[in-house]
Amino acid sequence: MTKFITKHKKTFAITLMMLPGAIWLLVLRYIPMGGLVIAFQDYRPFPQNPTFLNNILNSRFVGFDNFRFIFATDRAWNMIRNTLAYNAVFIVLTTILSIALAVCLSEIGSKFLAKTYQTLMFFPFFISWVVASYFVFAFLDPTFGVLSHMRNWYLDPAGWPVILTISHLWKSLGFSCIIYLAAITGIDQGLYEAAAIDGASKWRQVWAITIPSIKPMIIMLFIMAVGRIFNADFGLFWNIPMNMGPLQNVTEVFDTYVFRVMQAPIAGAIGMATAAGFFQNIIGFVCILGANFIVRRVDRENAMF
Amino acid sequence: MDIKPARKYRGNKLSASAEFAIHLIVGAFAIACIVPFIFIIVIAFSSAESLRTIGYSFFPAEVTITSFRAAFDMGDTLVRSFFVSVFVTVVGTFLSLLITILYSYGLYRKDYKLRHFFAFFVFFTMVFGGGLVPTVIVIRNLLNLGNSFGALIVPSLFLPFHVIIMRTFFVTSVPTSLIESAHIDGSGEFRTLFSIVIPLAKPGIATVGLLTAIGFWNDWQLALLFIRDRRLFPLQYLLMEMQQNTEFLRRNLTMIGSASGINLADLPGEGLRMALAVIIVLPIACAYPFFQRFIISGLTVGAIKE
Amino acid sequence: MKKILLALACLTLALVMFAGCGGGDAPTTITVWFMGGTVADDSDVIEAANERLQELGLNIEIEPIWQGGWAMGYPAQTALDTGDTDIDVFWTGSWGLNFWTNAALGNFIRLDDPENNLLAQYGQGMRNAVPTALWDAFTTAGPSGFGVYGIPGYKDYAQMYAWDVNNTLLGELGFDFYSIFDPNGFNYDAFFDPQFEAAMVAAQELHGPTFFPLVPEPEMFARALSNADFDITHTHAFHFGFDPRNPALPANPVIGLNLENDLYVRVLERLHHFWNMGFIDPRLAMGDQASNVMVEQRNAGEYLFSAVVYAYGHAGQASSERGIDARFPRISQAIVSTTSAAGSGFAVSVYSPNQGEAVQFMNAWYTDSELATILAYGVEGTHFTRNADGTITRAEGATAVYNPWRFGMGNIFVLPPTDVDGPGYFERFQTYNAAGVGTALVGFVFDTDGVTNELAAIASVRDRFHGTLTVGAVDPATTIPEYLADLHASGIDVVTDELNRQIQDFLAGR
Repeated sequence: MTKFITKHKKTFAITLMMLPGAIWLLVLRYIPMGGLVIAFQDYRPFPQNPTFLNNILNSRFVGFDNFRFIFATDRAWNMIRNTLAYNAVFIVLTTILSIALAVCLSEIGSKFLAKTYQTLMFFPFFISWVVASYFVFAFLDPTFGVLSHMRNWYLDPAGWPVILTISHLWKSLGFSCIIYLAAITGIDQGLYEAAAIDGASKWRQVWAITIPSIKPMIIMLFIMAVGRIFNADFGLFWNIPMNMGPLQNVTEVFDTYVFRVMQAPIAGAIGMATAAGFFQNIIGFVCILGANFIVRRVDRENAMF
Repeated sequence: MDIKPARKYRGNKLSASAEFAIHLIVGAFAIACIVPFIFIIVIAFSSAESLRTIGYSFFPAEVTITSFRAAFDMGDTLVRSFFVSVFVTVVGTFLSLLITILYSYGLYRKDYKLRHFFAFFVFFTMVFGGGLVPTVIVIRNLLNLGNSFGALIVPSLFLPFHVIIMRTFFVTSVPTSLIESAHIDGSGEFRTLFSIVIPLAKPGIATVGLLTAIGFWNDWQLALLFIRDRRLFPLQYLLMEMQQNTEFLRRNLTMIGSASGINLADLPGEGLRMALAVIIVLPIACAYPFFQRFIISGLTVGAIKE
Repeated sequence: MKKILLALACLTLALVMFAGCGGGDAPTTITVWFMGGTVADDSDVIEAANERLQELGLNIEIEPIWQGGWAMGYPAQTALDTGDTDIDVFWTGSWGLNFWTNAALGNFIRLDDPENNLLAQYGQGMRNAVPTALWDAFTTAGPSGFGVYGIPGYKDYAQMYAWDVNNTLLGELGFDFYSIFDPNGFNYDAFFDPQFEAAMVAAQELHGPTFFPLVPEPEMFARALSNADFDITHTHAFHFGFDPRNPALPANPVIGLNLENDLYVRVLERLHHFWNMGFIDPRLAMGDQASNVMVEQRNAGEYLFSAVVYAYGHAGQASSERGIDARFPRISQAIVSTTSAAGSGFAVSVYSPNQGEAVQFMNAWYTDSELATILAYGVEGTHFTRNADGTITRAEGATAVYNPWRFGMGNIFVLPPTDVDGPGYFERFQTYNAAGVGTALVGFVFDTDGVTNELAAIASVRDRFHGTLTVGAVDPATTIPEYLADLHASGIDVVTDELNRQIQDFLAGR
């Protein structure tokens, strides 16, 4: 035994390090996965002894009935289209703009200004969507709004895709920018030195050193974002348009739809909510495998697995 | 053994016009980010009368401190919630960073045999979850964490997203050769991690730490699910409750009407909600420079004009 | 290495520490989740209540949860769905934590279960204290058969719609209240009275175009006039063929679609006309804003006409708060429906380990005036004092410390009135209740099993049109056909048929 440990000392030590996280994952992520079974059940408490296990064992299986509500309206495709389209646009714009911002910040000569900019960029992160919706409202308010002379914004869907995209970028750029910035900070400065000696321009240095160095991070964030392409930001799509019916064609996404439906007095909403989450998981899983497959083709080294 | 980052040197400097353009673009975005916050402060100082007659405006008809006074009238509740939030954030961030670093290190080590297994183990939970009900049941019934500080900390101790970010930081900022030479010097795994990897990956750790801290500070969902005792409400949950109550009452207005006695006039005014929103941001904004030191300082040392 | 082990040890210790909360011994602790209110500190109140419980010979302690409002919706529902064994009794009703869906699902126990009749065993007192009509509203079908799954709160159970008129302003404008409204009749037609419109024109001439004389609470205004009160599906889609101009209730109601009801469509057209005239604040069409604006305008007395669900005693309170002469002429007969009768109640969780004790507590609380008074007003001497005329006076600042929502506190008729209510308040209250006319459908509950997907789809369609249509923001002529087409596509006809079938069964079975 001792021999075994000595031989595999390194593996053993590192595995010890993995344990706290692994145990956490096992208990708080893997064990609950067993509960996914209620997505296929008419889940009800078992009156005699209502523990979770008993409830599951005694609930009726209903196949895919709980999933039916997702496609229950003839607008289902509209809602799915919105979810995918918004997220696709968000992923592309966020990636490009936050890298650009991070590079710009890293090149700023004044440390003080760079810090100030960066601090300010993080403020949207603290402002909840409810509060942010008041700010948007200040501009679009039909009575007092600065832009209300143009049209009644809250009754006219035109313009909302842009408003929502801007709102999303405003909130998320500071977040992804800081990750890229930290990645840039970690780049070995010797590389730049060597490039400067070779006479490479700043622009050239960005393309030849900065971008390749942070490529693992770009790819990783991209794959992870693709995995959540069917999970819309509920707060954004619910609060900013103020839940206005006439805007639904361009503002309804999967998460808002599910929330809306759950407001109906339906016995058995647990099964439906679980089914909705499961549906999102499956789509996310397929997308992430697809993205990873493409990355593997292009750049094997940086693929997730 | 203490590894100092290589001397920062950025060779040629930016041209003045390029630098100016960058300031223009980045500065404009930075201002766009702070303006809504200033706006919230203005609303918090606007009188209810002003909000009613001219709507939300940068230039209120009348300025008052009523809202902040109302917020501080909440007295004990506010102070208690403040300390709950601080405690949860500090303890949570520390523990979370520790677990995350340990786990990410293994994933980063290319010579670690179980790397692929553990990578998939964490990655899979990013896409698949058991849903709300089973997760809550595990936390409350299996771990017995209902209505306690543990319920506010344990469920968000370990986020797969942060692990993957952290691992990527290790990959981009810690050269594998350093690890190898450390091993040749006879350094154990724990020592390698703490004396070589962590100092080098400081910007990344600070970033993840910041994200974790903000996550704990902004969280209200755990309180919603597990906390019944008002004395354990975090600050964000107080705010959330106020905001959601308005919406709830609107949805149920026709029902509540008959259930007389719930006075809509008792709803917290917008001013109070905004004042609370301001109060919530300030502490974490103050903690921000602490993390930022590690993220930015390494960056611009060489670029200061000499 | 040591550092790590130390840290891990700390972590484990911390986890164990946090996990170590809970437990309980001698007296059984009954946790009740109330509808909330203002409660900053309840420690001495609960101590007094527990003492009283001991005096009553019950070895029970009560532990309250005061998270009302929104918390009563989502968080309380989640606690039930996740089988929280720490909570024994939940507030429930036709809003907030929905009584019928939870009873149907089996989240609440059947109190008169023939195999374990807790109501007969421990709850005879409260059964007799509360009128049968209210028990009917909490009698429904569940997994343990058709029976009583909840304990009705006893308060105002008749529901009436009324205009809310700023008579001070109306007088200033030179209009006579009595020529528009009949204080003794039903004032449905006032909405179409030319003077109603003329007064609003005059109001805007006086105060300018950003003064909005008409404050329609979204939904309520239109529903008040169509009397689609029995909102069994929460969809606001159905009417029961009831004409507010004729207080007689149909003996044999047949469900139809609101949007195909002429009375309702007329109201929507009129609202849209007023919207176009600029009488209605455009902010009222939008979500969160609507309630803020509405409440603020009314509280500031900056309105001319509004409509409300009338609450008993509201007129005097509103006038004094707003500093105007607020009047509330009736729109419709006060009616007792399943929805209004189930405005507030309590139910015992199926996950409660102490179901018998929970019913014992509820029974004591519903019948013992002293215990009820403690829980509603606090401790005598600290939070209130008793007066010679039988009323109580709240201590200075006591309502900021302990002031639960009184009408959600079980049986309010065992309480003494406050000096603000005046002596004899509850007797007058009973008279008001008694004047309510029961609908043919009191006690009818819609079993939604089998139409779940349709209801889900309808909820989504409703959100697309309802909010704007019911404040007049969109043109009914174009919106209603679109709305109806979407409702039909979502399978509303299936729901209507099912509803009518169940109603016929219900009426045949009485």
